[in-house]
Amino acid sequence: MSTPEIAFIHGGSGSHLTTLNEPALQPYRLRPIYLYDLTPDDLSDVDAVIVADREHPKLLAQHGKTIYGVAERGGVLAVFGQNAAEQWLPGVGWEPRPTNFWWWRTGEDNHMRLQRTDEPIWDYFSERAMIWHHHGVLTPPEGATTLVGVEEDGTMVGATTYYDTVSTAGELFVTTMDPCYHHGAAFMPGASQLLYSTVRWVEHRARALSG
Amino acid sequence: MSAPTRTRAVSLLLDPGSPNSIGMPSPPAGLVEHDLYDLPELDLGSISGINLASSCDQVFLGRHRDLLEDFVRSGGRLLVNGHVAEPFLTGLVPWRRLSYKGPRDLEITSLSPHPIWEGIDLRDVLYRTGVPGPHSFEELERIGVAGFYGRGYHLPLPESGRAINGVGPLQAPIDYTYPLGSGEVVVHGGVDLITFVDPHRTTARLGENILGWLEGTA
Repeated sequence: MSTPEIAFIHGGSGSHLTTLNEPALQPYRLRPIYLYDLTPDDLSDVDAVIVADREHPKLLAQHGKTIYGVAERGGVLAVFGQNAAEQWLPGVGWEPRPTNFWWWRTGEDNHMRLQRTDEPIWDYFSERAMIWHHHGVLTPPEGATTLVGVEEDGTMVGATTYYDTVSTAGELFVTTMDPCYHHGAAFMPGASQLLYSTVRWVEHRARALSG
Repeated sequence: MSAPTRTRAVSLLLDPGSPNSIGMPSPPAGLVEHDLYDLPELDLGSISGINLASSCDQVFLGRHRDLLEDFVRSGGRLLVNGHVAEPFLTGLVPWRRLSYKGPRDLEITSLSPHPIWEGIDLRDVLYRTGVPGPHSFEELERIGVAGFYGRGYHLPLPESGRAINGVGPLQAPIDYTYPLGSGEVVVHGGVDLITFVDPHRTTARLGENILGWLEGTA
């Protein structure tokens, strides 16, 4: 089978362009879709969509239905953080949190809890990829699987990353982390790992679902 | 003599008004924020300086390169923050990532003076922390995170370019400036310069320095 068609929706930022030029990602033949010019036709034949982090929120929300439509027709949709996903992904809640970027220097609790299971998705994501910092807490749609939860005062209050195979005919991977930004800025190896791991997982699932 | 007509300083960014989650100070009063996509509608004839945030869409800027170039050539000042991946203005060169192992590889040193950095001790931009209160440099060496200022450089510089600050032991140009027509472009290759304002450090004056330069008074 040929490589699945994976659209990479970007906003033209330095980090997005650097991510698209990343040698490690060239074998995936990601199809760059520039958000400012996006039309529904751009996504009509793709097997999967990756929405880069930190897009223009209003522009992205305008195209939310079109993007979500890829999952509704059985495709794969990965949404990175700082994208106001709660405004365009159905059934998702959101509460912002201050970003603790220094916890690893002081030994503070980062509140992120890996919810590792035997599910195959965990073959793709390491702790290093999934836990560095986040920007807030998502309440996933009913039936979705939390991959990384947030614990505050002894209670799990939501997720920083979840996986959803029930809301649509396809599959969604949603995170509040921003790996394109930090990979593109040459910051934090964990961010690069999350970026690479997600693209690898998306390709794997798109191949499985479209085959 | 008539009063100068270009006196306003503006900042263009992706999403003005969105909350910042790392507790950074607000931009100085006088630096008016606009959505980048409003650039073609701005009255550039009344604007003396533009701060381009690192979040800016470089494809969009490239489509408006004539407008930007006319602005600078006619005497405007442009502060470009972040990592230029696709140069969107004459003279800009691509940012390149540095190979680094630790804070020493990320130390910033002054290579030539510029009004924006006047009075700034560059040791004060190396570390960042969210632990409240003032911290000595020695304390920051234990608890701070280095690298926010930048982890990359610009080489070769444009022909008329001058390095302002260098990064690492090899002092690769991280900040540089060049003239363009009657105006000037300054590039800072890292997290937005305006976010380094800290009342407890010499960077307390950085916001005023940036504003003064953009307004043409420094």
